[in-house]
Amino acid sequence: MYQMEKTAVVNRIECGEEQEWIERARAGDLAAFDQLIRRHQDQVYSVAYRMLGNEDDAADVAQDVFLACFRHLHSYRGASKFSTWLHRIAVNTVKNLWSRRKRQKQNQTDSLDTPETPDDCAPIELLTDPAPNPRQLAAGGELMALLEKRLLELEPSFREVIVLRFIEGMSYEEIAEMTEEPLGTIKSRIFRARRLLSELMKDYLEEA
Amino acid sequence: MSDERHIDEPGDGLTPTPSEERLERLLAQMPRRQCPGRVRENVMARLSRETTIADAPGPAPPPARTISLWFRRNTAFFLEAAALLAVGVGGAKVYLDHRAEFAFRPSQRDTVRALDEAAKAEAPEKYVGESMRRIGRGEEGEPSRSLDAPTLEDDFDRGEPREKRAAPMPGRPVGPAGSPEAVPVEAPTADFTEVNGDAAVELDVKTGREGGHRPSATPTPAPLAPPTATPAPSAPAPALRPAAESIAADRSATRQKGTESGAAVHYRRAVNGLAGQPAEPQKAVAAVEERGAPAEGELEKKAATAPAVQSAETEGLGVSPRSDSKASDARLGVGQGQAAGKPVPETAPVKALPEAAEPAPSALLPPLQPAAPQEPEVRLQIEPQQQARDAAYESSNLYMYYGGSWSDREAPSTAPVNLYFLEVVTSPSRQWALAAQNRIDQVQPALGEEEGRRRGDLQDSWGRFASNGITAFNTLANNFGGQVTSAQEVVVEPGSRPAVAVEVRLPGENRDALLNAAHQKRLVAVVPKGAPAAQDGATDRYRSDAPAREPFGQPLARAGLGSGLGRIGEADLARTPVETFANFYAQNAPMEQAGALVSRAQPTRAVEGIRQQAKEAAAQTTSALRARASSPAGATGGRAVRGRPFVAGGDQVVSGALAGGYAFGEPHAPMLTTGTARLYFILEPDPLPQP
Repeated sequence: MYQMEKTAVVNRIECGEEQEWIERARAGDLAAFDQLIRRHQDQVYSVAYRMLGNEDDAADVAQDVFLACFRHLHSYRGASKFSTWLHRIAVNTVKNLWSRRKRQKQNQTDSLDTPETPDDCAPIELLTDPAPNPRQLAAGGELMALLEKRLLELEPSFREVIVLRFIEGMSYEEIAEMTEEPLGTIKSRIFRARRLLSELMKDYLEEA
Repeated sequence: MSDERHIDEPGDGLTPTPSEERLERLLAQMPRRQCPGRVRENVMARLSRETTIADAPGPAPPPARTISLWFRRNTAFFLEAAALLAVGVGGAKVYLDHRAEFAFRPSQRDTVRALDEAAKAEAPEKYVGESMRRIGRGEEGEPSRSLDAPTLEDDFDRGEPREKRAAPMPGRPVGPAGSPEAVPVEAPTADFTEVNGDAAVELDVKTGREGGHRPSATPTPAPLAPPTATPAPSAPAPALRPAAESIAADRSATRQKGTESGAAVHYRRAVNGLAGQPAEPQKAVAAVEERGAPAEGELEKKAATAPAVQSAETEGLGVSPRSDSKASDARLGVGQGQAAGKPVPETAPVKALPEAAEPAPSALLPPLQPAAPQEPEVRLQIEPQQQARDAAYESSNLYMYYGGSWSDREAPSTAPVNLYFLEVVTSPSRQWALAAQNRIDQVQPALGEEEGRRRGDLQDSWGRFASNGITAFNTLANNFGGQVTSAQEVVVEPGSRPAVAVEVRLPGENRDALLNAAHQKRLVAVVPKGAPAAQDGATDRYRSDAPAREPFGQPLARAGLGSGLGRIGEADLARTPVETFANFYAQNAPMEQAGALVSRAQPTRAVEGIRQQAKEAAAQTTSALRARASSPAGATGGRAVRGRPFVAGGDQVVSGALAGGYAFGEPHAPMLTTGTARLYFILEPDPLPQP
């Protein structure tokens, strides 16, 4: 009980502090915006990474998100949490990247790194050792690496709700607000995405 | 860092299977990725570049450089619309030019009936006699009264004396048609050929000479007058045939030649006849004299009066456009006679239509007046264009002049305090006409001055432009709370005309506004005509802090600019008497480009005078600010107020343009470093569009 009250007080203090940073950043104070970046950069980067599956792309998206955030900070009215607003920018930026790549795909040459279809292995994987690399091992083991891989095989809309709901732990309402879609749509989409992902991971989940 | 994961909600209402629960746990255990530090560093570095003092050019290209995608997509449509518009305008112009030719005219029958009735009312005996003669011609079984055969109107048109008509003429058959008397008289062909000068007429005359009465397959037309009288067999109608053939030949010849249009002839005859202009009748008289016609005095009298009467009565009431009508023959004969020198259609029978039969002049005017001739208007349009072209050429030459010592060309200027920037938004052709019309009197001399004076002004032209331009631009910068702190004469491209590079310092938040107002703009700084000089005794209207009035007020408000600075179009310029002060093309120069330009500046043409002025202005400004700060009403405290000139009205003379007085690119004073932006503009003398 004491711990919960203490957490609430800390949250209130953090919210007030964050609001102050927002106001200062809105006035052009880069130091205050730096604080905001430090607080939310991992969340933004993580969402971008889980949705894109590429560190470089995720870094680029995070950078774009914070630049857009600073330029449009005057439009943030505080109706929702700042983190929600930031995530919304991140999700939109990722969607823009997806659509841009979709348009460019026709003129794209085959890459050795990316698979053409979900069932198709990347050509480079045919040539290299299929064992998880040290980074995957360090990140949580083979099963976690496999889950990441299967997650990337999902449709973007399914991947989006899985990441926001189960990895970022957002509520249905927050996801609906962020994606600007009805709550029922989000619920059904999460249900179908979860079922699809569990089918993809069926063998491994039963073993686990 | 807050980590608010709450996945223990009831969710979608469906109980997850055990495998799905395991999946959810696995997903929740997925580690949150650490954002690389370079992301934050890059973001901060970029934001620092954008928000700090803008030494570097803006990140986004100016809007004037870009063409919107929408416009690109619709270019084809615009071109088609423009082409259609051009075709429509051209068609309308052609239609308006030839509208009179398509005008409705009453039929020939109505015209002849009116003519006959008028004649009958005035001279019933004559009318009856003529009608009977004509009817008798038909009753006597004339084989054909072809469309080219003479009628009553043709008799009038012949204008010959009765005795001459009654006499046998060469080529005319004698006696009624079909009678044994109808023997053609041998005619000297050369006589007609000489008069007509036309092969068709000659051929026709030959035909008449050989055949006499030509039988025609066309049915005999109904008589033009009601057959109310008994036939008059004594009338020698066939004797008129060669004359009618001559007229018909004339008409066909004119058709081939395609001379003056019927409407134009219609108009001209009516007007000339009413005004008593003897142009065409004189031709007729001359031609008749050439033919050896007998009664000159009578003919002259007829020629002077008859065309008006005849043409007005015939055409004022309207003439059918039928080509085979006799009245049309008479009408067309004017043009033909004029073209071929034939007087026949122009002469009207004075006796047949006495003077009393002339209607009032107002009734003679045709119902539809064709447009007046266009030649004088065209000439009026061309002359100002030529003048403007000459002026533009001379202005360009004056602009191009530079060279020699700068100090020699330095010219003091007493500019009034109110400077208005006119952004001339118009077509290039209109621009050069406008620029030529509003020549820069301060920069270039008037065209009619003495040569020595002109030479002196030529030498001063560049110096005056430079000082005026900097003054004007400083006024522009004042309205954004900035000021011109340095200037340098530069050459934009090797070998090109000189320009002035100015350095403007202004508050950072006004940087974009100044760029929008001045970058890539053709600016014309003008002063109101008759405005007093910048003195303390200036009237209220022209004080520098006085609000702008009409017609500058509304454009000012629209442009969101302060007083003393306007952005108005050519319409305002046209109705506002102004004197051009300086016109130039302003363009923002990036720091690197400005530096490169300055390095290319030639030391002989360094703006020493401007620098000297800047120093003087700095001293004046400092003293003015100190005086204001020391006074109780000195509220501004030395800071420039947006929308107001930096200095009070009485202080703002040309020498007050460069208040800072720093050398180009030099480090600036500490008081200007915080929150200020530094912009560089290249002011080129506005190159007048080449005519």
